[in-house]
Amino acid sequence: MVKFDAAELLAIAERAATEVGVPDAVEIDMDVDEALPLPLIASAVEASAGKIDAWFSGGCFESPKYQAILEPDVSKTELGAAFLRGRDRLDGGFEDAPPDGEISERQRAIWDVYTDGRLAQLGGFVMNEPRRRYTYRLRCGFNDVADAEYQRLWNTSSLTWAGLQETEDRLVAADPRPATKKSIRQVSLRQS
Amino acid sequence: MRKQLPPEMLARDSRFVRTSIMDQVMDPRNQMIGQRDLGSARLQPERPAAGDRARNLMHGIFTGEIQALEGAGRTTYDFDDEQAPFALKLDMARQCWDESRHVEISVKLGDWMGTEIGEYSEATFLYEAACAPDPILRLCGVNRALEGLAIDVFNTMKEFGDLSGDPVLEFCEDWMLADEVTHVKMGSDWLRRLTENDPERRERALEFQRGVDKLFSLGGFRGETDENPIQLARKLRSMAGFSTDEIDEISEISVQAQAEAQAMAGGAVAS
Amino acid sequence: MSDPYKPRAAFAPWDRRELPGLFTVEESARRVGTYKWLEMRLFESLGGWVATVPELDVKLVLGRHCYHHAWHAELMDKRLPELREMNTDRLCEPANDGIVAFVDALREPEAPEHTIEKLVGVFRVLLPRKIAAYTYHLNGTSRITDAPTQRSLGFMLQDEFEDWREGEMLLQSMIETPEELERATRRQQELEGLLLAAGGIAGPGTLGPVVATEGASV
Repeated sequence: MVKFDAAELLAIAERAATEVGVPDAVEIDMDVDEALPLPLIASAVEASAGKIDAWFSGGCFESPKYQAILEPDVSKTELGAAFLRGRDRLDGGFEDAPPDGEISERQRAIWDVYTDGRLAQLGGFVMNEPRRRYTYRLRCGFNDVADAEYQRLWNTSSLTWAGLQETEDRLVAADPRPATKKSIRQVSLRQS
Repeated sequence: MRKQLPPEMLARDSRFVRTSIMDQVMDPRNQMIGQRDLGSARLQPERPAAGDRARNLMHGIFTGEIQALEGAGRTTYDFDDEQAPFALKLDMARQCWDESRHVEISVKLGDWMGTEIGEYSEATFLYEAACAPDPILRLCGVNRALEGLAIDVFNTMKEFGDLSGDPVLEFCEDWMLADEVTHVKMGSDWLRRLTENDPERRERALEFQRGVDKLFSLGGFRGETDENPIQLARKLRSMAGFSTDEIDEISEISVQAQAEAQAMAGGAVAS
Repeated sequence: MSDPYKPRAAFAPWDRRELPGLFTVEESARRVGTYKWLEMRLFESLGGWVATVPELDVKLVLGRHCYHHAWHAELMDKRLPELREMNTDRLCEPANDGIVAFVDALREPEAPEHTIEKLVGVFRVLLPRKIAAYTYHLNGTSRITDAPTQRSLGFMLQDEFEDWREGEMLLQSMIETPEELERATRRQQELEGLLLAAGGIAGPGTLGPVVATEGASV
């Protein structure tokens, strides 16, 4: 269904893991759902006992210009982001965070800003910051409080799950939009 | 400069990559997604990957507006004064201005949403609706079918902006919607005027429009069910001069298009 | 208290408009008809070119300017019946065959690599010529008897000046090499030569009375 070269994707994953500081001792297991094309971009990460399990939709790695073709630079960023969150779960202050399947869209959006900001600081990862900002605003609100929190999250290098929850509380308090009915979370794109 | 410019000659800078719409429609992954329980396919803020889906659609709107501009521009040039009355060309020139503005708005919205020019591939099926040698067929293809689709798409995006609380998106889509209603009315008015004494020509034009509407339904892209990301905007289409029968027909065409695409994609998966 | 019945001059002291003008009704109508024809050919060319230029900003400018010139044609079309020309198509014609040759040459470039040639034709040759012709007409015709033509020409000139500026800036931003400069200059000379042969966009007398040469009839 896709023309991804598994060896190429693996090599990109290894580079990304190294650059975001995943220790060599940590095993990474990747699962790619090739049936989910662009723009269905979704990922989920779990980590425990020195192992990171990462699930991706095929769209995470697909070129937006050439159907079903791998886009190496964007792939490296998606992989780097997932592995950073894996490290967060292992020993980065998110050890007590619920599994990805149980966190809300808003919480995930906050975490993604924190992640992308660190990738931008690291360098070597292509970053579409306006895209991240827009996706965050969709989940967290179009208002001054949300924008201020965004800047803080983007520039910080130390956030914990508790800190994320406090951020969420502030965002909810400032969000004038009516609460939506239960939404389908990103991870529901995963085939059960 | 020749008359009747074919789609392969549309000029683009190096950022743009051309693709075939049929490759997208026939992507076997569509069939696989259709078999999963992923909830509604409607473009709504709370749905999975809403941000990236909206960005993808915005880029499609951007390239569509370029092609609409090019189509209107060609109509001012391709026909002599006997084939296309002066007043018709004036309307097309006005449409050029409007579509230029829409491209500008789309670029700014792309900046707002984090979509870069040329980020996604471009299919020229919209301009192809403007490639008819008869100006009336062209008007039906562009001003009724293409602009009618634009009404559906912009209305969906406007609702997306409203639900998500995005003030910029809602504002811009609403302004563009006003223009599109004008363009559809232009098409409806000229169809009536130029075929007043020629029912056969009128029927040929409407048949051409039906074909274009089917293509624009793109295997379920537009319709009235939860399986369609873009919803048919009945109220706005009425305002633009579409009759209830015409709207019902488009809805039916959409259902047919979706079923055919699913059948073809199913065959592709099986093989 | 001022006397409302006290006679006042019909023309205020600061209103220096005079009655005579250079053009008869027929001559004004003839020129207006040629302007309409030319504006039509121009907006058609701009509209047709949109799809042929790869530069995104140029596409958008051409689309906008297409409407400007279509509107100018509409203004001239509306003026013609007011100048006793009920058949607005009759006078909608080029001043002479030389203008036809000019327009054919103007709209000849099609390839995506020829944006400079397309823009030079419009913004360095035709628009300056139109500005000159419209200004001469506006200044020369009677400010009282032909006021409607003046008003329309005033609106048109506002567009022409702004469009000319915009097009010139596009050209200056695109001409970056001696080779490109050579192309622009050559194109301008080619088209100016055709207009020179035509006598201007309204034919001989576009910018003033035709001066008779010895042995020639006027």
